[in-house]
Amino acid sequence: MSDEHVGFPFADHELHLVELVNRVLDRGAVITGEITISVAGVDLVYLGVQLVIAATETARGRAGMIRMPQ
Amino acid sequence: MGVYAYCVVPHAHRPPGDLVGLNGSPVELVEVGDVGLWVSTTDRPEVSIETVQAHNRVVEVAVTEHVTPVPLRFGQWLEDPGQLPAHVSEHAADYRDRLSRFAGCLEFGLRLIDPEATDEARDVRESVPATGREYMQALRESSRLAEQRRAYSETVASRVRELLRDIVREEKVETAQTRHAVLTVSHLVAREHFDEYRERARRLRSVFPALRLLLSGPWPPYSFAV
Repeated sequence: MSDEHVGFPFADHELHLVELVNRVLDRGAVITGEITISVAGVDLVYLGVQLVIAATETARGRAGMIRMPQ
Repeated sequence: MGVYAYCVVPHAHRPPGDLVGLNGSPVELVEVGDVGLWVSTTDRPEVSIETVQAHNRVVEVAVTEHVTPVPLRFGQWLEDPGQLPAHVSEHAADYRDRLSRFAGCLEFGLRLIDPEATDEARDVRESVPATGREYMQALRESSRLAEQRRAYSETVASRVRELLRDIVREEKVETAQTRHAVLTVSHLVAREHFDEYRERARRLRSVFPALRLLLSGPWPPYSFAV
């Protein structure tokens, strides 16, 4: 019998989003020695979640590139 | 174009044929020895809430009743796909070990917050004393308050451990604390204990009525992948 994919229900959308960003950007295994990510068309060397959030906020303010889902 | 990797999976664990990842790209299985990776051929991704969600969505799809992938951090993009086998081979033994430990488990996040907390230790340290003697007193007071706070966090961590020990497979305590965080911990929990875990974790509200409990999950085990 094949495995069933399981769902991920969450009651609190905001908590979910904060916890999600924290995990996906700052945890998880790394296969490349240096992570380069792109924010609003600018390549940045990844140094940590706080820096990325700061950079993202800057990008949102300047370019309106980052949108929160409704 | 390059290759973007989402997670490490066991050999032959294939994504659904219609699964779409970052930038609308199809998700494929690449096998290196006896482990596999779910990847997309795509340009370097922009970081945004949407791309973070898209990354996680792919990792979640890789989760089944008996398989829990090793989630990769956002941004694992290689310009030259030919470099992928060497990267994976180097860590293959570690990936096999984690896939075995994670099987049938997912991660929960638990935060205990003190909404009334003030960072007294920092306030004392940053005050401007008039004399050298006052400066030394401020340092001693700051150190005493920091120690008091650390001891309280350890008491809370110990009580949480006591309450959950028999249903938690592994725990990871976050050491960097913020002003309000008394305890931030992730737990690896087997699927059969999910309901029991939630129920016991919620009991912490009555154990520590002055603290606010934030419980999240189940998540792919990002916190246990490194």
